[in-house]
Amino acid sequence: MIEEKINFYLNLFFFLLLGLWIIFSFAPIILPYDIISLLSSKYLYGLTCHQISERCFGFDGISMLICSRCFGIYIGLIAGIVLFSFSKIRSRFDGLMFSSQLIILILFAAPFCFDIILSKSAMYNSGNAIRFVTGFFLTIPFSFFIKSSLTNLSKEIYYKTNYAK
Amino acid sequence: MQSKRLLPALVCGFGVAVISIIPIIQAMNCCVFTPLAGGLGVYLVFKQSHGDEGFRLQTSEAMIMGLLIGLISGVFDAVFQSIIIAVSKTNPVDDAIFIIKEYVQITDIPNIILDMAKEIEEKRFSLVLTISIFFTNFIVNTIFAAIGGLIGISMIKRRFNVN
Repeated sequence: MIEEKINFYLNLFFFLLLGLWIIFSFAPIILPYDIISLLSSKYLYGLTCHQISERCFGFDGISMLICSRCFGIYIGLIAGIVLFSFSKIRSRFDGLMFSSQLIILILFAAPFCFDIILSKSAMYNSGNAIRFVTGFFLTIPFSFFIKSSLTNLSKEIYYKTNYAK
Repeated sequence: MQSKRLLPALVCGFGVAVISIIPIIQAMNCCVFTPLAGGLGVYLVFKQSHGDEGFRLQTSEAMIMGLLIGLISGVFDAVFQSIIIAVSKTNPVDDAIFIIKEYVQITDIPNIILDMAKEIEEKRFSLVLTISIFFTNFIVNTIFAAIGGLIGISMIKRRFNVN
């Protein structure tokens, strides 16, 4: 299999996995009476998220399985992967010096960290929209590095299947 | 297991466990500090070994580092939490039951959780809770540290022009 094809399938797999993870977080809204799936997904998502209902987006009084911040993180990751699929944007970010890339990462992560520190220290109470936006911006630049590590992985697979022997 | 991986994993896993018990900062553990620990672990392995003959920084390194950090931080976290429960007067299971009833819209609390709360109230220790803390942290930290490791490898390859 050629390298580009492996890269494409790896990206597709990652994208689908993330997409399914996000779609299942809507389980209580889509399937409000399916108790088994609700309980299992509640436990599964509970591993990474507090699931406090007033901090989750919801519809008609039914909350999602993940909080608005986590939802923003996942949507940001998807948006970043889509964004960096465009070769023009990718090559522009790729062309930056490493230190500039690091500064961009820190700048995008700073609102997220400030929001958590300030709201945890009870200085202010951020709403769901702010939590979503800060989570969203946290993961956008990181998705570039995730994408390039998928490219590295596809290179390694290609090398191992073709030249390892 | 190569000892070159063990020391970085030990340092990073211990760091994650320590941060997970610090108030306020602990809220950023899974999203910020665990991926950072994964990235740092991979960087430390690279720093130790990049002069060695035949050393290649592979993506699988991120998975191994994630697994090791998850395991080590899970063990330390379970120990730290148990010590805190033993020496303090708070009952985290009681607090969790309150939050579940108040916010998560579940009214029927399973008996195992109620028994855990009772056990902590009486003995200040619950083996079930310690084991569940270990497994929860092991699973979550493994995933996030592996993601951090992946990002770390990608950054290292760009920074040091490693192929």
